Amino acid sequence: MSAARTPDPLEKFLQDAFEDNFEYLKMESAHTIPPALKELAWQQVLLYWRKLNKIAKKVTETEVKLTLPEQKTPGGRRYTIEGVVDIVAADNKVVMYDIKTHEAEQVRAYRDLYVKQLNVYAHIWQNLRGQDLDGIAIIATDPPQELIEALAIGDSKSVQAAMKKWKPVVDLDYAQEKVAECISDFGATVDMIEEGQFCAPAVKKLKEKMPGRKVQFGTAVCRYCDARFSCDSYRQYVEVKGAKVKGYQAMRAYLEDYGDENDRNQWIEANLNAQLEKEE
Amino acid sequence: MAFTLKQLFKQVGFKPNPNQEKAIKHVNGPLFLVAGPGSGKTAVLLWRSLNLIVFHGIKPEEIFLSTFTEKAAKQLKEGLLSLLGLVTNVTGQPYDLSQMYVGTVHSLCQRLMTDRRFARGGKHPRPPVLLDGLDQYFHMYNSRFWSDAASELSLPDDINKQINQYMNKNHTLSKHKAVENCIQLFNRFSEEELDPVRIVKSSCDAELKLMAKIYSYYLKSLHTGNRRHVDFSLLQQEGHKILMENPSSAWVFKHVIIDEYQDTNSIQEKIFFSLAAGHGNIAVVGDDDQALYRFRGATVENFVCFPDRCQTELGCSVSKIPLSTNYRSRKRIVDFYRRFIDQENWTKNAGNKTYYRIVDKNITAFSTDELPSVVVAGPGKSLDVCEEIADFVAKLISKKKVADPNQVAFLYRTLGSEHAKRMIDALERRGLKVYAPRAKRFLDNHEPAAIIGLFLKIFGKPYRDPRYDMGGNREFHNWLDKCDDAANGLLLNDRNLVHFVGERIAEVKAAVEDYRILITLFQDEGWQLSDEYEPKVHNHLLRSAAGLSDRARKDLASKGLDYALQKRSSEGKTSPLSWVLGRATSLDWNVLDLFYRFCGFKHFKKMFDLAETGTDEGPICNLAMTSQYLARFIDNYYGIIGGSSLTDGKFVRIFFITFLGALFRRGETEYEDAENIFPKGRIPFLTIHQSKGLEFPVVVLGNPDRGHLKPQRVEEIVRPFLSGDYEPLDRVAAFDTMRMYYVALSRAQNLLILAHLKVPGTSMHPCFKNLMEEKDLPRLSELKLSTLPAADEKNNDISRMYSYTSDYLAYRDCPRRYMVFKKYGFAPSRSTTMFFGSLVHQTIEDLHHYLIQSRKGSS
Repeated sequence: MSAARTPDPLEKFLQDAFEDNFEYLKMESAHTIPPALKELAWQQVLLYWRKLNKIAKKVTETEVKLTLPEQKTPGGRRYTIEGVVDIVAADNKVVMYDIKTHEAEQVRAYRDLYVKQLNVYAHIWQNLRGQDLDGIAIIATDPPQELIEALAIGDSKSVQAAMKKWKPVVDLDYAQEKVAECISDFGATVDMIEEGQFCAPAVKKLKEKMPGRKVQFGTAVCRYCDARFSCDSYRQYVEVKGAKVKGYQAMRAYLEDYGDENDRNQWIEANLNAQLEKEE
Repeated sequence: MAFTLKQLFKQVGFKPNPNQEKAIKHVNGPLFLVAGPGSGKTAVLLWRSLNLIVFHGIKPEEIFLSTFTEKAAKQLKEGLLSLLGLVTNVTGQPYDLSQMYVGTVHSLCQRLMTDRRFARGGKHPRPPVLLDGLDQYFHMYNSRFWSDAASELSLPDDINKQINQYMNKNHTLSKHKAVENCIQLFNRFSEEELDPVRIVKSSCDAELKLMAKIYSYYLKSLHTGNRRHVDFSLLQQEGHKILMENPSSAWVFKHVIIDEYQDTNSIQEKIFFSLAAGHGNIAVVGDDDQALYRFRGATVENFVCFPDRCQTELGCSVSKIPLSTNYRSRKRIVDFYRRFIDQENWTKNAGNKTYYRIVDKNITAFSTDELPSVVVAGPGKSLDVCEEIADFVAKLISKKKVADPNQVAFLYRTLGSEHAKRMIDALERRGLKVYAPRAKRFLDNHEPAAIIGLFLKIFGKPYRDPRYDMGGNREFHNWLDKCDDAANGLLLNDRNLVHFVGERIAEVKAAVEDYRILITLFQDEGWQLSDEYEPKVHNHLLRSAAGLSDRARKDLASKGLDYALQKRSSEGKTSPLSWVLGRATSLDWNVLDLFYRFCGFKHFKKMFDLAETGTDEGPICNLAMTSQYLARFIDNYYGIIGGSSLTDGKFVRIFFITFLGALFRRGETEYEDAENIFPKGRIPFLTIHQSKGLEFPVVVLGNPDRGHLKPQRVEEIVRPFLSGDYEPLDRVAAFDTMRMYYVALSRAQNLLILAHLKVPGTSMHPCFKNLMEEKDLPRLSELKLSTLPAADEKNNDISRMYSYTSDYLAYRDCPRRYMVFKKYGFAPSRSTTMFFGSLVHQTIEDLHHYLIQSRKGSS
């Protein structure tokens, strides 16, 4: 999967664009990601092209910004909904795609959530362009474990098989009847934001498994949040798992937790390399 | 279309006056909108854009609308979205504003660099990296910049002194001052597009030649390898260059609309005329009497001479429409500031009756309320006048003459003065709270001081050299002492924190010790840091070095090291011993990680708790800003803290002295919320510049002194190189002071209070003195409160934009994380989701664009 093995001119373009974007984001965001994560990002981009080039070639509008103005929250606040999608208009059909860097199985497990989102987008699109849609779908670019493993081993047969098995496009039901309900929930959320309600979810949510996955919310999400050290819910989540220690020893359980040795090495290498580049 | 503009006016209850309506309906050719204070220009801009889009078939992406601030842009866009929403409801015709250019010149310049309509030859546009003010400062403050410049340009040893002497006749050796001076001058050079080579050739001033050479070097230093950087001034130059290189760019926008045109600079003027060159529709809105930003290179002449420039640049004449009715202020306030600006002699040529100002404005108040609305507090000593005003303000609030204390604004030329401090004191003694975001430096707040204090505990204090213990240096070290004290207080009350800090100290010690042991081994074995690491030769000796910590030994013995080496070699990178050493002795956390862990201790955690329930957001705002500064340190200096930089004191020196010292010296100010700059319950203290575009029921002009007497040095230096019709140098300072006070006076709606201070050494601006006598202004003590109208609660009903994913879904995932990163803007350390997602999305977007373009090309 290494960048060096891409003779195709389009893949070469993709690789240049990817490196450019990486450099640009690094400078803009003032931080970087570990090499392994960068590699995963590249993998997603390259596999998107290899697997879905038929769709990619037909995209007519990319990163289309959709806005739905003059909405009212239950609390009477005015607001505008905003979203970004890609559009394919070909063969007399118009299809709306939303690209997510999630795994397709995860999207399928969460289907209801995405059905709502894309139906709201579809509603906006139809309002904005006066054009009906023939389909809405999520493109989930995170490849399944099987494919990643096949690629790591490098056996072309199993890669081919895994590629074939991979279904990254998740077609969603067109359900405009859900739009009103969803927008009203959106409005209620806007009220909560504007009223300044920012308590963390209860520890119960942290212990729930992520839909379609074995890992808990507290580990999959909170474990990577910089603000976890000052979060009561996260503390409770970690405490329950830990032994019966008190005081500072209990705090150490999460203060010292920056992942395993591999994570630690990854972090050091990424930052050491960035530092050397800076000093050159 | 059956639906008309008139119907829409009626629907929303907007009743434009004849000139407003004329301006709204103006669609062809250049428009010169001279808009006095409070004359409804924002409404005109909004409705004019609407008229273009709805009734004249102009697509939103064919409009370029530049505002002075991002906030103004956001409000305009949101206002337009609402109005267009109403139109859609009636006509069913949808509008998409996402491609419309609305923003500051800077953001629009950045945008056009990536806009494929301006791209040359379908090339993938890649904009340069923008350095903001602080980045620019660090770039130039860097010792390497000066040592390289010195060897290339053969600079004298006392270069700082020479720069300071040249710029402000000051013999100080301060590098900080020298850098600030350079930045000011260089930015102006860039904005005027002055060529340093030309300056060197044409000037006989040796010092100026030297400055031009350093400027030239500075420009070169921004290009390293394939990375290009630009500062704010060069960003505009870059934008202009793109327009010049691409002839079709003159036809991209059918309408170019510029707000606050009196505060634009030369390069911006060039950009606007280039963009409008095709269709010739350029509309400028402004008021020369409210020009404030000469010190940032703005030239009010752009506005005053706009009709002539249109003639030269576009070959056509302008429609001039004045907006002269003031809807903001009571009649006597309007009469007062009108009379004030007339006090100055603006004559350019008495013979043909020309002026440096648009003199025929004839601003009149819509209000007919002739009761007193301009009063004088004092005369008296500063302290007495402050007491008098504070008593009066307390009364205003208790008698409900204002709906909230934030409706009484105190305006000053600068907030650092003793008078402002006394005034704040007087109010606070009466139990009134103030909000003065620019009155003190950010670092003087408790939150950053406490965090930095804890950093001092872990990394040790930098050396306080008695030879330089004076002036700003002493002040800075005193501040470090205060930070240290703050940390002592925290440690006394939190045993857990003591443990934590103790462990970090031990880690730092171990890293230093490991480094010492390994580097000694290097010396004993005769190895160089640049030698390529060879496991067979080096590894055994390294990991068996006596006294090495378990951590370092484990790292040297790990498979991870072998794997990393293989990877580097497959990428064609070498792995010198210095890399292996860095890996084994670096701390596995950086300054931001440390910060976030400090936030887990009770003192700081409480601040998060207060914010979670919306009880108090002051402390968390300061923590957020602290995190942003730490992120900038990581970006500019150390993303990882290695044993070597801890050993030779480099880390301590760079973090505390170079980085924090710079923030301290530059006096970086407090957190300001762009959305809501006036927290409820607090009386705002603002600089006059900050008050631009705002209005308040009650305004107190706290110290109406003489202001600047001389033009700024940069103006003097640059002027000989400019050709054009400029205000004479000897009158610039007086003109600018008049305009500044005009802005202050015209902010008041119901009451304007002038403080009449009798202080030795400073005197009131003569125009105020004259007017006080001429108008026989009433004293504050004589004002009958019953004659003062009560101000209404400000209705802040703007429609905000919420993104489905980054607001709605993010909030649903975790409201607290949303609060920390989205609402308060904490700089993330390890949260990488945004980076990852953006990287994938942007690259796929590039791919799609490429494919769309190549399809277009082949068809």
